[in-house]
Amino acid sequence: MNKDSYVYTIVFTFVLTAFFATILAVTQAYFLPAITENETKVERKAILKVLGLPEDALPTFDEQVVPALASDLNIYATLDADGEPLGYAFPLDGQGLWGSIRGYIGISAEFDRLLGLEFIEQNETPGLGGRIDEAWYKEQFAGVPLAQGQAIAYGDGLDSITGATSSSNAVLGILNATIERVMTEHKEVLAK
Amino acid sequence: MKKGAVKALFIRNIWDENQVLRQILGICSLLAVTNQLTNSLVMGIGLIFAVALSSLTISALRNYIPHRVRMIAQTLIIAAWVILFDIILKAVLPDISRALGPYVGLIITNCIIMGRAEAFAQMNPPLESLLDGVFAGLGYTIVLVIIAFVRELLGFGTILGVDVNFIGFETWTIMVMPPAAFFLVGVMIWIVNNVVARKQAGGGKRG
Repeated sequence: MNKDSYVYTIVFTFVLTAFFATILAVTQAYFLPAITENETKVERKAILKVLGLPEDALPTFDEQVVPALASDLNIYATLDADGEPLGYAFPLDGQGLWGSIRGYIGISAEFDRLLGLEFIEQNETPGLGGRIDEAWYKEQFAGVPLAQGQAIAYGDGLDSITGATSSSNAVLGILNATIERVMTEHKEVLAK
Repeated sequence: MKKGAVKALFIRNIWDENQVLRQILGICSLLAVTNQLTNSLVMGIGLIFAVALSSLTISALRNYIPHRVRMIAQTLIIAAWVILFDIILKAVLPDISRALGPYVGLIITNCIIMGRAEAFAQMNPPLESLLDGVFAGLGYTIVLVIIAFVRELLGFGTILGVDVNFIGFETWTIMVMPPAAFFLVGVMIWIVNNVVARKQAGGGKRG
């Protein structure tokens, strides 16, 4: 058979593509439940972390954390023994330098300070912007005071990442936008 | 496989035709990942897997791939292996997968894989191609690790994330940024080229 004929080339390309696409599709389908479970775990760990709860609370996640609003199921609250909220977790979502950054922020029940910041997805440059996912960077946001109409800025105990100004600023922008949204849309409803 | 062929393949890929230092391939990923040793090791291991398996597959199919579409076929095979690796990693080792983040996908675009496919796998038997891939990846990893060691030490004062800056050395921000990799890889190429040139000149005199 002539290997360079059009028919062979087309048939070969078609068969090769179909073969590998099938393998990938089957693998993806087979592992999908495990992947989804892992992703849920990561998300739940992030929620626990921003609410200041220990990571080993994961098996009892549904007892520790409840959806705070019927209208938006991505907002979570942790309650004390009397059912009073201790803090809220809000999803964080925005554009980083290279791709979307998603995560959660924790805000105190009085809406006066940040409890924590965690990322569940980011595509910043590894070793540079990717360092936003390092513990020291995220931990410095815990306890930052919040005031209406006053944006959080670097300096005074809050460091950006050397060599990754764009990613650092992107995080700050997303954070401030999220806080702004929380303050205008959710604070009134939740504080009731 | 002939006796001594493995050793010859090894020496050629690690030294004589080192992908980074002699062929100047894989520079893009080198610039990106070498500011931390852990990242470099992970990238190196990922590349060894990808290049070895792609070379093996391409070599096994070499008599069936039409010349006209060989590059498309190679890219397809490389991408399939890397995506497969990515899916399995996500499902089985989610923590490592998260740490690798965008790296895994980046492996597809590493020119070393295509380079080995074009220069070796498409005209050599599968076992040789597999070994050639492993050694080529190893040669790349060694250069990565050397550069990452210097960059992480001088840029962060750490080794594998452990603080070793006992003397209060002022770390160099430039080492964290991509230009430092250019300087270091340039110096390495210069040294290696000099050594090779000397060796060749010396051999010429004697022989």
